[in-house]
Amino acid sequence: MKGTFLKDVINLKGQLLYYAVVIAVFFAVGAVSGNIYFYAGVSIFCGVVAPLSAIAYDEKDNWDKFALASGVTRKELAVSRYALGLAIFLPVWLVSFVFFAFPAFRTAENLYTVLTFGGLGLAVMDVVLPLVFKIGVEKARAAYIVLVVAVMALCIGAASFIGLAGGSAPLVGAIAALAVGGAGLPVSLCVSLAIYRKKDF
Amino acid sequence: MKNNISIRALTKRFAGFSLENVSLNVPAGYVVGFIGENGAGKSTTIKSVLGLVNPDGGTIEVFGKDIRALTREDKNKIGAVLGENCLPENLTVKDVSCVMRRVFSAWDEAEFYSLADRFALPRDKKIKDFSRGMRQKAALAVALSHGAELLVLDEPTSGLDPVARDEILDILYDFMQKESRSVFISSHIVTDLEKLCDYIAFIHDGRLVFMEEKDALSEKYGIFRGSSEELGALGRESVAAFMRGDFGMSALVYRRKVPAGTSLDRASVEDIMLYFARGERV
Repeated sequence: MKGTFLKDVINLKGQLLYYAVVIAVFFAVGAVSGNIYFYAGVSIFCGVVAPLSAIAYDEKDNWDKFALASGVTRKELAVSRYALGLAIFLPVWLVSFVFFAFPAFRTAENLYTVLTFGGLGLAVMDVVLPLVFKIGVEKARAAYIVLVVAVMALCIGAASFIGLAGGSAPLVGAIAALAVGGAGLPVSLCVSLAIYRKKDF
Repeated sequence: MKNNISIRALTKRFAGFSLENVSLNVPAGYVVGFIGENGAGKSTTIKSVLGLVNPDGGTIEVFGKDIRALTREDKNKIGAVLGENCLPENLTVKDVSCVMRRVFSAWDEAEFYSLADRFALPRDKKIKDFSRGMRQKAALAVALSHGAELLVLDEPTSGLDPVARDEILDILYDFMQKESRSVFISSHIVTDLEKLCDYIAFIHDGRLVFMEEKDALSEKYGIFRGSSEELGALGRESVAAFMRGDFGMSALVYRRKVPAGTSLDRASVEDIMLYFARGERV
């Protein structure tokens, strides 16, 4: 798995730099505007786009065939994509907490937002990766566009919910989102492994 | 004789194509050439050997073990080249070595760089900037740099000029200097295989037509040319397949079964493949 992970990092080197710039810009926009949603939203897409790009490169390069023929297991191939997604998403998401270094951001609403978007980021990964393993990157592009719209709707819905709901509801919602996203990971991985086991390369 | 690959009754069905009951061996110390037209089932057989497709029936053993029981170390002893693209294009030769060190437990960086130098592969250039021949050589350099005992090569010389093809064949000759090693190589450039192989396996329409020692093929088969009456006089049992031409008939015949003194041309492996694939059966 180390080899596959390293290959992904080298393959995506140029893109990772691009993501870093985008993340910095969105962080700055959020910090200046006082709106944490810009940054929280972009963190979700970074976590999905990186493994998707890696899989697209692999399809073009026939990496999976080579790796499987060389002793890398189907399980390791699937797990490496989740590892890459988490390796990108988690640091980007954790940077959201840097906003709380600024006193103006230290509100319960912002905390709920960061937690909720963390859960949404994981949930999106849970859905997208098995889908891409099943139908391939090319066919998944259309589905991905639908997913982007769905995620945006979810984000807006979550933001409205956090803003409008009173009492402990936003906190419960945030914890639920994190729980669903986190608990979905092993389920998603199991589905992906089942897909990989049956797949012909 | 110990077999590095043993395939028994391999069956794999796709929509519109099926591989049926393919059985063949790749003995240790020998090169087996796998020939057939595009879509005949060569790649499916090779992918089955490498565990890339899940067969619907039959068994495959590599190094005497069922392929499902192969450990990482066992698989590390297989060097695979699968068509033109099988190395990540964004990587340089140096990057490839860094990655492969983590894929293969017996990765030999010195050997890899030595081969890269021999093939004149620039170390800092990305694979995507390599020519087709350079990519194939890079893939072969990887396959030869982790202590492989078995090379499984799917069309490694496809699309290459004769010089590049000859260089690759030379490398394979060198690899075969050790007796325990084997090469299972598919190609539709039959002349390449004639130079290199000890055995030829021919697959047509998903079925194995024959697997024979290469030298025995020319002893077994000959080409007869003549009129349809002359061909008929040879007897049905002596004709493997025949073709009709503007100036008469030609047939692939069994040398031992034709009457003594019959004039026959030498049948090359390509001739044999063509008659079996396109000729009419008696």
